[in-house]
Amino acid sequence: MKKIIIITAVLMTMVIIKAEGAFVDTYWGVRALGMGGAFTSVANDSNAPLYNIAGIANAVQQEVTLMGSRLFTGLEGVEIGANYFGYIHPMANENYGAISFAWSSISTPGLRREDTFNAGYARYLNDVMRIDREIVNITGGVNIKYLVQEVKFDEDDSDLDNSKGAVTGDIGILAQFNNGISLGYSNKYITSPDIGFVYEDKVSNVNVIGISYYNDMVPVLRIPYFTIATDILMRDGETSVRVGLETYVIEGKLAIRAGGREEAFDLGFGYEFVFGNNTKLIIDYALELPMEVEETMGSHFVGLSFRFD
Amino acid sequence: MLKLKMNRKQIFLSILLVFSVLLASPVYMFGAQQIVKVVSAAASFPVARIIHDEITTVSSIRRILEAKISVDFGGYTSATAKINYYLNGSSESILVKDKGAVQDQEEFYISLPKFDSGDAKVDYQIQITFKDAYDNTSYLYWPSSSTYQTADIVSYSSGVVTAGSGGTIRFESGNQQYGNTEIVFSSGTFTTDQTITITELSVPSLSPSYSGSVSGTSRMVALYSIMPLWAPALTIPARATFYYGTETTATKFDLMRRDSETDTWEKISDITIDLSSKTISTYITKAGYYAIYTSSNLSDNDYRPAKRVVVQGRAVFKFNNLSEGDSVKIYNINGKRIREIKSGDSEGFKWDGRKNNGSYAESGTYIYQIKVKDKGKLISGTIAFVK
Repeated sequence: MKKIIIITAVLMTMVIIKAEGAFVDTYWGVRALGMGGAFTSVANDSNAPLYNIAGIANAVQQEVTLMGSRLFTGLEGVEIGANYFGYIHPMANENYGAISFAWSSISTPGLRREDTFNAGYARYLNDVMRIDREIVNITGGVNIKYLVQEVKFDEDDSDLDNSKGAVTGDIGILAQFNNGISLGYSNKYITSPDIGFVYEDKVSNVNVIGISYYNDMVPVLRIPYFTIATDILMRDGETSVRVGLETYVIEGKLAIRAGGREEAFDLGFGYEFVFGNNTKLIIDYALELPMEVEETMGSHFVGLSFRFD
Repeated sequence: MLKLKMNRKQIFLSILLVFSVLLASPVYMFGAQQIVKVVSAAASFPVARIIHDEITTVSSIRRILEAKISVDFGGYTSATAKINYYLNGSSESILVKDKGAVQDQEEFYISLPKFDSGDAKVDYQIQITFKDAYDNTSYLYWPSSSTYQTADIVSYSSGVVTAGSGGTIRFESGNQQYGNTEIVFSSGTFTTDQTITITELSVPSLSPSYSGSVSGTSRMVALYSIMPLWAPALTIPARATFYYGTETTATKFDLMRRDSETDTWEKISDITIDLSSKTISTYITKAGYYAIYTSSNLSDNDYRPAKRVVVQGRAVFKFNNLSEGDSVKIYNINGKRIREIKSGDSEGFKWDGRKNNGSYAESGTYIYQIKVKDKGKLISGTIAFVK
């Protein structure tokens, strides 16, 4: 019954909230990008603050990640970079949940940039919903965001301010069933704040529903630590689908990923180095090849993550 | 001396009578506003007028008549301007301006649809319909309500240059927004009077040996002949101005002269390009064929928009030096193509921030890719559209 209520509430929110505006939702988190951005129902690392804040509640270690990228390489005259910093801190007592801080940015030097600062909190909801965690682990979270867009106007528009900021937030829910299926829902930019310089320009509310399946060893195919995920993303009345795959080989050290969406195809890998007691260094790389933009050598993303107690 | 003796009752009745007469007057009964109106109109009745220099010829190659018109609205509050024209006996009319709260004086251009190649002349008449604050309508015509101005659609212009005082031979394009083709000869240029003819030739219809590209990346956009050939070369160079038309959005050009002896095109190095009048000027010493080519020496930046940030409704992105067959594709930051532009106007290929479906794009950074047909490569860059 409660599940029905939750799903109903989610669907109602999706119908009610619709707006248009800036702030893309595509280029952060190297692991997530390697999976084509289908990460809403996976969301179990420091990329969670951007994809589904509810996922940070499942962190068992502190984690910090840094990402740098260069988009649409090979195109002379195009210089776009996306950067990300994320940090998750699980509370000592699991009942208190976890907090996160993140910063994401996409910029074109001398033209325009978008920055998003996130502060998030999530915890498991089984006690509130009175659902056995052995059957399904349910987490929920909220993210407070500060958005800033900066534009370098020329003399014709020198009467305008060069930057515009606004506060908004995300909510997220993640349900991980014991049979390997996970369902995720994330509602981003929930208040659709106005960041227009001249006219009203509301940041688009984004609704994402994700579903994924994980298996330690896929029967028949014998693929280890395998995840298949898909996200259905709704923004500005348009719906797009993201699909991703991930597997870990070499005793779970090397991750191989693939994914895509309508406009691009993604490939990625990651390698985990373990130091001492539970200290891990993870290096991730993702390549995105746009389908429509011509003559580009793709977008390249490199990430460095630490997990420690 | 007439003495009126009235008692109080008579005085009261007299005053009452005067008021009764005044109250019975239709002016006061029904027409207080009308009186104000009539007095006001009589005191400052709008004196409107049309100022326009007649167009006598239109280039048969360009086939565009664009008239420069200045209207003194004389206090009228709204006006509609239109042009009536006869083309091959059939009457047409085109509404060019319809506005309220007009300025006292305004200058604007009226452009007729491009004529068919078979048309020999066009008769046109400018008509302004005024309305004042009380919705009274009046009309004003140029040249008059019953006459039309005739503009012949021609390909050449001839004139005599005298030995003593020189002269100017002008071939009028028919487009008053831009320039004309003309040659100014100083006194003493010729020892005897000369009849000089400027002819504008159709680029594609010219003999193949004269048409086509000088190099792989340039295009001929205008071609003129100046005849007859004279020899030897002028010792006093003549100032020549060539109009290249509105069909190209190029900003860099080469002016070439056909050498009749070697049968090759020679580039004239010292030229002045006036983008506002769409003309190229130089000094010439020889007659013959003169052609304007889009420059083969364009850098990528010559195609890129100079304005990289556009606020919705305030400006547009202008991609330069593009012609038919070229295209501009706009992608959002996700790499999704949202707009493709395949044509432009005299100011270039433009993007106002709208997507293919007509709605405005979201604020953001966008990637453009310009495909120049003759260049064989893509020119990419980034722009920002915000609201």
